[in-house]
Amino acid sequence: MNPAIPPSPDAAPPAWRPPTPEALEAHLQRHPAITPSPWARRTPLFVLGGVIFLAVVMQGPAAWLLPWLALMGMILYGRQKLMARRSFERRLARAQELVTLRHHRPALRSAWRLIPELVQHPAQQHRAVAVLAHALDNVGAYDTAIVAYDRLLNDLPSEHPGAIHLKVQRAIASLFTYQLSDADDALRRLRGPVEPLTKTPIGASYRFALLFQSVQTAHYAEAIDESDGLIEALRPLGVEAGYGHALLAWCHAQRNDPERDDANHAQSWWQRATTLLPASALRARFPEIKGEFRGVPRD
Amino acid sequence: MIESPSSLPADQGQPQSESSSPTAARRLPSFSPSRLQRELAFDGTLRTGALIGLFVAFMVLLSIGPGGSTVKIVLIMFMILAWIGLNLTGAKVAQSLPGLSSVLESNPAAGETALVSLMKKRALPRWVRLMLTHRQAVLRHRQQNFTESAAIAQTLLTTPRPGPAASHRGQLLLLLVEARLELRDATGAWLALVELSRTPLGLTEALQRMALRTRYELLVCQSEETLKGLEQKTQLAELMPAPQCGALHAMLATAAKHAGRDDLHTQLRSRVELLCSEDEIVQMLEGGLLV
Repeated sequence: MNPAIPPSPDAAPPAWRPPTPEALEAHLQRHPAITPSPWARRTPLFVLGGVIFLAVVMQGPAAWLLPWLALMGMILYGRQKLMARRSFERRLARAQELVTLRHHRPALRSAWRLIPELVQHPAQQHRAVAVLAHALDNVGAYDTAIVAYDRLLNDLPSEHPGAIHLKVQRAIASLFTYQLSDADDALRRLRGPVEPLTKTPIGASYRFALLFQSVQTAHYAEAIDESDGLIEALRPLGVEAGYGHALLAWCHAQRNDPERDDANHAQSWWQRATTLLPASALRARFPEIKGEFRGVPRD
Repeated sequence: MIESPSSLPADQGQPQSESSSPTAARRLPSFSPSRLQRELAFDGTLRTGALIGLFVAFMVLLSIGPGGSTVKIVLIMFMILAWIGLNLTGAKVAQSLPGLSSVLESNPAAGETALVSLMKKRALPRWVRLMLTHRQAVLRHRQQNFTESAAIAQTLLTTPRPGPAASHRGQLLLLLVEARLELRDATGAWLALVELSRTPLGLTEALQRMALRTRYELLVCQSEETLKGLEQKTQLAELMPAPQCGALHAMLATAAKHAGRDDLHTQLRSRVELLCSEDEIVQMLEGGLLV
């Protein structure tokens, strides 16, 4: 495009697209986190030692001043590093706030830009990738989110509660992309580790993942049979528990057995779901729920 | 506002015998603003004294005798190492602060023991001492000793030259408002809320402020005020973890009931029932946060 010609005011803005899995993979490979070696961290001390040695062997005023100048330099260097760290911390906190406020695209942009700048700070880069993964998941770029989850899982010990949560999130993303056997494997392996975490958001996410798995594999009756205590189990998810209620409503609507009063059950579960979340949000997350439940208003 | 020993919670009333077991939890003494001032003054005196001493020693070494004397060089090195050593204690304590916060969260008794040993250190930089005292306020708040947590927060907020500890001002004000609300001190809570409105806050802290303000409005029966901007408030509440989200919905439902808006009360109450467990609902009913 010729930069001299401004775009027509009527021209539609270019459609926003989330990064592809390949683009994210390449971005992460280009900017891997570098753990600073203990020797590198002690460099200022070695410099100070060297300067003191020079001061011992040298004569004159330089011998007196050199150690103090070195000490001053060390303090200034430390201060500069601290300022840079604080600046990264501020930007990272902002990206995390954006993702919490559900401003996923700006959060995504911010985290993407931060990753190359944080190569020397592995813990902070890990947080930036976590923001990226969360934002990608929420904009529906599940394939790319899986790449980010894999990177995060690579950084954590497998029994870490954070790793368990990430594995559940990854399994949910796999279900969205119909990588069903992958998700099934992951959920089976997570059964044991999740056991003590039932009343936490991790346990609730796992329960949601099992329900979603039943929906994606069209095991509606099984999902209904295992729905005892679902409200309690999904409660730690807050309003997002509404997604689980909507899925169970969908299961009842799909089974639609008049003898088991599925229409009424579907209605009451849908009502619970829409008490927590608007119907538009539920349908945006699960496009399958486009059809109208019998006797249930669309919004 | 200093807690008397008799009014401490049951688990704090019994002094622990440190001599009986080497691993017995050690307890911090009741907070006293004058003790904090004394400790700050003592730390300051030690640090300033050390700095002046080093400077004077350097000047004396520089002014007498020719350079090149190995003894003098060694003395200078010793002075530098002494200064580094003096700052090392403060740096180590500062580094342990994030870990201490998580211990206080998961195991308050162990956290208190760690806090006792850290507070015994001398020549700490002023801001590090203030940060440790801040952790003491958090600990007391967690132990539901609201009188003492409010007293500590109030003292820290009025202490001059906080340095990097100033970044905790928002948290301290939130803690102060909550402690005063627990003590049913509406005037004190209002003053802290006004101060809080002038303080820049992050998202999490802003959400906490909204919840505390709602609680204050309920306490002083300003239901109409609570229901202003209801849609925005519920949207923001949704960003909180489930229990806090449910509690804020409960307060809004109570305000709706008090304002005679039964339809709104029913709507919000149905959300509360989905967001909160039965135990939490019973607790809120008993505390007057839900009707």
